[in-house]
Amino acid sequence: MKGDVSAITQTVILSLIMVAVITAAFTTMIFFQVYQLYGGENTFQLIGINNRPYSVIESLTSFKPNDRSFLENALEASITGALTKSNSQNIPPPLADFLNIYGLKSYQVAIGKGENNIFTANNFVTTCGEGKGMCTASAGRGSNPCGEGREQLSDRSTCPRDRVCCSFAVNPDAKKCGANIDGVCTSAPVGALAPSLSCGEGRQVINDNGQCRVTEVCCKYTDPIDIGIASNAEMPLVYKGEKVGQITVGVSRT
Amino acid sequence: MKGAGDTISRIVMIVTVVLIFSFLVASAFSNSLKTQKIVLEETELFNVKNTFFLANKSLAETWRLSTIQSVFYTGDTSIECGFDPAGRNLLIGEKYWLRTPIANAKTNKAGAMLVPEDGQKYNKETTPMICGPDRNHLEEVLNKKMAEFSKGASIKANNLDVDVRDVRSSVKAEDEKIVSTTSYALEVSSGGCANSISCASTITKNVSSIDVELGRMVDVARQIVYQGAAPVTVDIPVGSLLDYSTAFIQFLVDPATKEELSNIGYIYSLKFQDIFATETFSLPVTNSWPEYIDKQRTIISTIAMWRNLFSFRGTYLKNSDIIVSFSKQELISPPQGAGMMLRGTGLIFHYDITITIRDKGQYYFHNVNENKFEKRQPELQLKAEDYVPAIDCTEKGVLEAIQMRNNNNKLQRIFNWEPSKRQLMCFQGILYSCGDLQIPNLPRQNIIGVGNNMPDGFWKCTAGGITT
Repeated sequence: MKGDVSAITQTVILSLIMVAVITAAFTTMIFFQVYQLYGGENTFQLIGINNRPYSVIESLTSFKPNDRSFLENALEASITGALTKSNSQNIPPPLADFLNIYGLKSYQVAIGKGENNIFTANNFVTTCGEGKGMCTASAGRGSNPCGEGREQLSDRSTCPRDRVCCSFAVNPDAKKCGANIDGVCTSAPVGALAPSLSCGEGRQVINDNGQCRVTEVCCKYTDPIDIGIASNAEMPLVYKGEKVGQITVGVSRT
Repeated sequence: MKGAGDTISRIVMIVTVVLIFSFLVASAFSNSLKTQKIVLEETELFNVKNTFFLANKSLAETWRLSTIQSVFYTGDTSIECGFDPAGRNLLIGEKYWLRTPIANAKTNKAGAMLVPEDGQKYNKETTPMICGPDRNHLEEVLNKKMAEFSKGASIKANNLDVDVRDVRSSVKAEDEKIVSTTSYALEVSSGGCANSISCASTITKNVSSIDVELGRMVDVARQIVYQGAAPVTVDIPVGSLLDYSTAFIQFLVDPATKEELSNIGYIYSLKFQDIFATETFSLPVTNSWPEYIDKQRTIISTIAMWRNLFSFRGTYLKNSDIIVSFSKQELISPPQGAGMMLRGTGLIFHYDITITIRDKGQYYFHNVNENKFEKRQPELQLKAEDYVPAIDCTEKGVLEAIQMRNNNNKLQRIFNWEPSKRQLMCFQGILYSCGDLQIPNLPRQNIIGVGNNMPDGFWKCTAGGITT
């Protein structure tokens, strides 16, 4: 009788162990299947991010910032070593407009000659106040150089002399406006010639939805720009059998 | 005994289950690693593909820019006229398409071939010297220059190896455009196609078309210089600069018999006309030296400019302008040893011009000396320098006619120098001036002072000019 009980106990323990082992095996299998699914998504994301700067360069090459294509400007600048020498000094403003179409949170375009940088354009902001604000032009905004809704931060050590540090965060007491209540009614600074100039850097004018006074515009406080570049692509520039330079484009993950 | 058997069978079962479990885990890990490897390879393949595409696009711009620079070089060096590194060709001088050195007599051999023979760039040992390139010569220079740009390269981009090999260019000059075709082998890989599965390679061809009518410019320039088939107008009865040059030669010499033959292209009205011209030849008297120079300027300019509007050979410019500029225009006496005057002395009209045929399109030119790119119009510049006898004091026929009209049996010819002021005289084959008229090279003994008789003993030199 005692022997039978012991055998039953051993059988139960063994069965439990086997169940535990089989469960662990299946759990592991399921984990890896899920992991692979997740990893697969990463795969597509990785390839997509990797391709993006190439696509940007490809469309840049046919973009005409002046009387020549960007590619011709870049090649001539690389040959001579300077934008002024290739008569390409007027590239930057149209280039910024062109790149903004892509809606990239962060980008950098550069023309280089070897290690020397001839030209760089990016939409990076200089952060300040321990990363809580951005360096902003202060001119013409009266008592609050950052404009309504934004706080001026004291740490402006990373900013140029003519700039102040304005918080990314919006003051909860600010008078909100816009269809999604994501703007702040802002007084036009003295001497502002156009409404778009009233909001300042890092902000844009939106429809106030009738919530602001006549003397105010509704400024949307855009998100702080992600300065992380996720992937780069390079287009070599060749002339007379030598690599004279390169166009490099870096873009963020989003 | 039964207990021992059970235990063994249980152990076998446990081992079996553990083995299956291990196999499943190993399989899962292996799949994951394979997937990661595939992803990395796929990423590298995309990088190779993208880099290949960008490199190819960049090279297309390289060949285009190279073609533009070749066009500028070819036009700026005047299809390398006078740049050729051999023999007589250099004597003509850089960019000159027509030139008569002052020491050389113009060729007056009857039947002499003055123009370049078919397929030749230069004429032979005759004067004026002529460089008259055709489209084949144009394409030769374009191809030569393009070859300097069309070189392979082994470079790095996106951490990949980019190899450009077997580059060959061929340039064609069409009427309104220059078309260059560049073939090349492009290979992008990670460490060479032999060692890598990530490799893209092709032999490709790029065609660049530059809208510039350089081909037509060369045709028109040749017509301006020596292929003018017909007179420009009734008032300007010469068709090309060569026609103009030879229109001043009255007689040609038969090399075999040494017999003098009348030059059918001779145009007496082109000469500086004396005071008897109207009554003797019904031609207007040349009023002064500035008037004569102006007239010659007009003739030469019209020969050049007329080609811009219309050509009797059907070639005309659609998108270019012609600009003529004179760097020299003067009347001189032939210096010692100069072969311009075939006999005796007289007065020579000397001109040196630059004809610029400029396309209206604009491209960026690489100014290598200043290392900068400048926006400018492609152009073909050509130069011409010539000396033509405006007054030949021994000219046959003229003196006889004057003798008949002048009725004093002295055979003098008298010319105005300052406006309506008679100050030059041809007598017995020699030119004399009344007062020092600052005519370059005129010997001092040929300058007659005011108050003295002219050498014919009939006319006097006074403050008011030559009078009886």
